[in-house]
Amino acid sequence: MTGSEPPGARTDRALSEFFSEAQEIVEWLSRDLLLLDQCQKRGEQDPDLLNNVFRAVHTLKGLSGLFGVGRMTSLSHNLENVLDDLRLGRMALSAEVLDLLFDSVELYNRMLGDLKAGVDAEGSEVEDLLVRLDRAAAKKPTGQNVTLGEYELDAGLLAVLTEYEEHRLRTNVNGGCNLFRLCAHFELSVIDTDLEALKLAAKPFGEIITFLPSSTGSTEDAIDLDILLASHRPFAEVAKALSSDKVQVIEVPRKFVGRPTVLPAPPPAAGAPGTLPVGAELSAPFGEIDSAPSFPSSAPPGPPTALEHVSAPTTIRSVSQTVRVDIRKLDRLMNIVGELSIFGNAFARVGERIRAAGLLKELGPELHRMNRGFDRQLSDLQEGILEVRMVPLGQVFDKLARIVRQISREEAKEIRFVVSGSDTEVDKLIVEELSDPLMHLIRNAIDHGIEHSAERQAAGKPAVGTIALNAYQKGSHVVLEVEDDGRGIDEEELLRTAIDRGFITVESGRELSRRDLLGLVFLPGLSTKRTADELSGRGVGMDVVKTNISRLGGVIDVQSEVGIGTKLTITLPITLAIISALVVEVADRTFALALSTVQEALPLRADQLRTIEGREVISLRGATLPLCRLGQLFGWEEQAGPRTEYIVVAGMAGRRVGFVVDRLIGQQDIVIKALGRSLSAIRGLAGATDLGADGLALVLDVPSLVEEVLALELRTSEIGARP
Amino acid sequence: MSGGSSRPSRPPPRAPLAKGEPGALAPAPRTPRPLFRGDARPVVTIEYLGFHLDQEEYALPLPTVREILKVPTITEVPRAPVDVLGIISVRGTVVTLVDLRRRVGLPERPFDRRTRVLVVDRAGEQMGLVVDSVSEVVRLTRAQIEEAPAVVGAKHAELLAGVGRHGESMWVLLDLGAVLAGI
Amino acid sequence: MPAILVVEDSPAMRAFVRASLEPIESCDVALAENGFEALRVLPRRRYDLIVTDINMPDINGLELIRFVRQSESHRDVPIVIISTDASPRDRERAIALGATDYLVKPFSADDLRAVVEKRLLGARAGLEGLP
Repeated sequence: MTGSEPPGARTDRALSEFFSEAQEIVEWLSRDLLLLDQCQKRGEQDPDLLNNVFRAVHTLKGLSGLFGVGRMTSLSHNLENVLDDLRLGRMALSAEVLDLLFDSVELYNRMLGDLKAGVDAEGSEVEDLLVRLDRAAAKKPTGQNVTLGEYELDAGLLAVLTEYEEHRLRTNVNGGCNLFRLCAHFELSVIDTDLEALKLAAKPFGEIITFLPSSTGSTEDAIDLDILLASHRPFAEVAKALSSDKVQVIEVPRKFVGRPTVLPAPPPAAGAPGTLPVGAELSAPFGEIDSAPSFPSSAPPGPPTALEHVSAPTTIRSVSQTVRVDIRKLDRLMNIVGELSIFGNAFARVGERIRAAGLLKELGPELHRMNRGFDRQLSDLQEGILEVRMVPLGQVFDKLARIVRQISREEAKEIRFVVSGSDTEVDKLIVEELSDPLMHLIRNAIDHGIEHSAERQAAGKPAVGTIALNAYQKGSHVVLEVEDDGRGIDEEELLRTAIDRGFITVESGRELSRRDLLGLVFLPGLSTKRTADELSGRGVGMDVVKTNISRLGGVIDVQSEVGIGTKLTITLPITLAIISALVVEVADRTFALALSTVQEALPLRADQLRTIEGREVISLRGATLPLCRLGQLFGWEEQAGPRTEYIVVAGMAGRRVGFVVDRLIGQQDIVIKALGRSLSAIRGLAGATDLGADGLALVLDVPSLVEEVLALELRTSEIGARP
Repeated sequence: MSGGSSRPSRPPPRAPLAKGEPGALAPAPRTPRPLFRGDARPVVTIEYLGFHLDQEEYALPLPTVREILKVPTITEVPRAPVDVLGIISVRGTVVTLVDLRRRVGLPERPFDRRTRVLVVDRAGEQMGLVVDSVSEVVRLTRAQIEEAPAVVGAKHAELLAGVGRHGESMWVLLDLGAVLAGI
Repeated sequence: MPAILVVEDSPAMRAFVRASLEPIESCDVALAENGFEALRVLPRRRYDLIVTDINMPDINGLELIRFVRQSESHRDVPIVIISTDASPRDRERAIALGATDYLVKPFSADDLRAVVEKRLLGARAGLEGLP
């Protein structure tokens, strides 16, 4: 048997394997550090977590060494030493040390980013971090004076403990724990489930030190395991809870107590297997948003869970069930589905023509049936691929929790970050694109929303500020809410700034509704960093946030009460890839508009058309609707001469525009593809779609076009209003 | 440790070449400042893909070119950078198409049956470059590559990686990164 | 045809070890992602050599060595440890428990192949366990 690829780590496949694994480990590392941080704040210790962190770094060291990533190896090697001291109790875990460990996560991410981009960055950051770690690390004297000899432990067992396991054993014995041997006999075919159940059941009682497989008594289908458990509970209790027909609990005797090693009989029929108290440790109280402002219309289903309690599912770590897939491979599959659907459409058209021409009377219906079957299978395939692309929002939430922690420390503000719905799933691409806007919003909430605790207390608010991040599914959309109980946005001040800067006139300002007033915050250039403080609310580039959300096909809305807080609500489609679209023709070019943004399409009648201050509008059922000619907007020549035109009324939430088009081609499902890097920033375009023989068509970004047209409208009306 | 991890010995360093130009290749005209000297360097040949723009012969390193296509249906993109012609679909992927003539400051010219699109890779993204026609694969040694004389397209000197000479022929070697910069 | 079992919980490391070993003439490389999986596959057939990591969750490499050395079917197979240099003590224990070789990560594909080839030859000549 010969390998098809050269032996060596640097093959592309191995390298991409390296990237995805390293990335995943760094994500776990970050998550575990957050949990560790929570523990530390509560003054608790979690040796398992610390060991996970150690193992993560340990693995990163091995991996990066193999792939010749020297910077990462050196960082990992040094971190590993520090973490080894921490887990072996030779060093205390302080907030400073944790800060530095968080910094190392950033450093890993940067290194991976550099590597992926092919940048060979050299820097002193590793050394800097290590110097700081060294400084922060207060070595503790090792007080390992316990003799394990007190216990009659099998010498064979002691000999196979790793250094860490031995340390845990000593620490537990030191802490006055009793030792128990769980003799388990498991069928190999179901060992994973049995073992997980046992681990879960044992967890409330103490710590499992090790699992020792024993070859005596093991057969081809089953195995004997000696499991060493350290627990504060008395024997009877442990035995009652953990004994079963597969597990026998034995107390490890102490030497000088002189108790004979009599094995108690297993407690009477421990019930059917599977009656282990699995849920025992899950009844921890859930956090609640006690001080979060509440707005109407926010109804995330299920109880919100504070981040500190997300620790329950540590057992889903059985990676064996999951397969990591490079998103590009899924894109490729999606492309194939797209092409297949083009074929499908072509078949359907041929079928139509055959039917229309009255040819092949018997075969026609059969072709039709086959085509229907093909369509069904194809849409199942499409759905399947989309499902694979779905990832939980928790991935971003963890990153955000890290940012909250960092910024709140920088700003010396105390903040409770409450998260719900982190298991809500959306397309991987959306998750990626969402992290920057969310980071912006949260940074703003901390910078400008949440007040310092003295100010809060003076205002009769709880000293600790709350930022809540809620996610939930609503139909085919995902709703994300970023809510703070800070000082809120002062609309009057916002209006003054907008007028001062010439965005609107005093007159038009007077006519704005409250909602429109708050919406001013999204005007480009209004909420720049310079004025962020004056605005006493939001700042940094809210227009950018809005653009990013709109590019994802979503909308963002703001609600705020001065002194109470601010809530930003983002509504997004769950999946980006496939949408129902209206395909139209303008100036000999084909465009697609997301059907979800289209309200109606109607022929343009000359008697509806009016011109106000040089801009075309129509009256539609009593309301005035501004029109948009894409040719004009994009600088393309339009057909001259009289012809039938149509109006596509599109927009959202009361902000509508009528797009004038030459032809309505039809409605179809399209696969949206991203434009290249140089084109992705173009305002008004959401992407492109392949229409088969007709080539690519641009997909219009309706929300941003509507905003653009309405902004033009506003400006002309002001120019017109001037004397 | 019970041994075993014997490292295989490294291959002996390559014997240095005789001083002077590598002999087997066509004599390259001496220029005052060659970019690379032939002495003590192994002869490395680099493959380039030669193509025409106007009357000039240009070339890009062959490995940077993923494929060569006839011009497909182009979809115009409004508000795009000036050198972008539009987008095309290459096996389901949307590719941004750059007019190389415009990019190097040459006048426009209608496409004909010899017009080709070179699909190149920019950090994972595929881009298309429209050229008048594709000529051949050129193998050049380092010694045959010179710095670009300042006269060639003075305005676009930053796009050039150098000039390759082989006998009577000359190729303007483009720096792909620079060509795509700002697009 | 010699059969090798690789026990390693990191997928990238597994892929690397497999790629390193596959060029060995007519050899069959089986992969296990943790100690339990190793226990599951070991009774099914005879492996001529085992490559294992030490720091793995649940069943660690040391426990695996002990198990293998006590087993009827595999007590004599060479065991090559691959691990980082985190703990010299763990390394001594591994040797004491009967590991034949110990490679410190990172190692090259050639290093690993050299060790494994030598052990396979030794095993065939009845010289297992000898350096």
